[in-house]
Amino acid sequence: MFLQGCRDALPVCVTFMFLFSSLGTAARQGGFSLLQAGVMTLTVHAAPLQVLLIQRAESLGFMAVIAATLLVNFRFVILSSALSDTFRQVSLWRALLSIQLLSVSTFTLANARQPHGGDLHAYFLGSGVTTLACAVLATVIGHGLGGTPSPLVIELLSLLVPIHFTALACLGGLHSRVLHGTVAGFVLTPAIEPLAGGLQILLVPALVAVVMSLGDTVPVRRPA
Amino acid sequence: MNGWALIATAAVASYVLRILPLLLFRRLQLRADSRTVRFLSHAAAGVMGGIIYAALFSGHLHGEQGDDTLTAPMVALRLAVVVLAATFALWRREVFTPLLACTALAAGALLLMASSA
Repeated sequence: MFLQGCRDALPVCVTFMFLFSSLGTAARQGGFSLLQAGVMTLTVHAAPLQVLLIQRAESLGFMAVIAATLLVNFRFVILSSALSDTFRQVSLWRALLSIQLLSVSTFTLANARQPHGGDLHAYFLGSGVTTLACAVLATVIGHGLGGTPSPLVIELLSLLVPIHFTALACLGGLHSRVLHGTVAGFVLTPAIEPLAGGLQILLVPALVAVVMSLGDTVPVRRPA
Repeated sequence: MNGWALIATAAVASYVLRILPLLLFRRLQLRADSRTVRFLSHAAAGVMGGIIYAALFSGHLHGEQGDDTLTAPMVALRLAVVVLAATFALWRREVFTPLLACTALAAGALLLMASSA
């Protein structure tokens, strides 16, 4: 299952190579050393927050970093909660070590794998180790190269993540609750963002979960 | 705040966000089909949808403060690429082919738009 996780993570690696190499370039331009850029990807492991840190390094104080991390990375609380059942089977120290591999990509891979059974934690480890290693390598390469990509390449890069996550959400098929929840999150985000601002990160998943949970309790009418 | 302090603060805070729910739910005995687990799974799917939207239209993944300069053809292209990726993935039930095909198509469309501009 570990090797299966490594194999299934290869598409994520393609996305990560582009995403984190551009992040490495931005880190260099933002005054971060090669070691700092690599360590940041290894320890923070969250591209949106890393971009924020790189761009606002001068102006962010301790409390501002905490607040930004809570807001931007709150999704980890939800993803980690949803994966908690998988981690209950492993020892505490293994859980403590391996949870750093959690990202939206590794969560989605593990979630898509769940119905197939097997050692899901080993699968999570395989996909997580592969993607994190790739992210660190790409950051280092991007920092080393240091060139700014053309607007066309930036535009293409911005499409890689949505294409990839959309494909992951569709793995379960048209009737999968994951797909329904993803579509609901996609539709609700622009509706709630103007009202709630940054809090939409919390409100949209909560609203999706409430509505879909209500749907779960409605009895399905079966033909007599 | 210097670079290392910034990285250490964000790293510790991110790790706490990852590990806290695991530690909490380790103490609770929840069945995989329980309401709580299903609620959290739905919320996680909602997170995915939000991230796809933000990556497509808000520029959050690349740190911009919201992209107000998106032209109508660009919005249409982005939406079309995602819908195509969904259709492809639903048909093939895998990730790699839709990712490659849609990226190639998007690259072609972007080149075409750039040359005609």
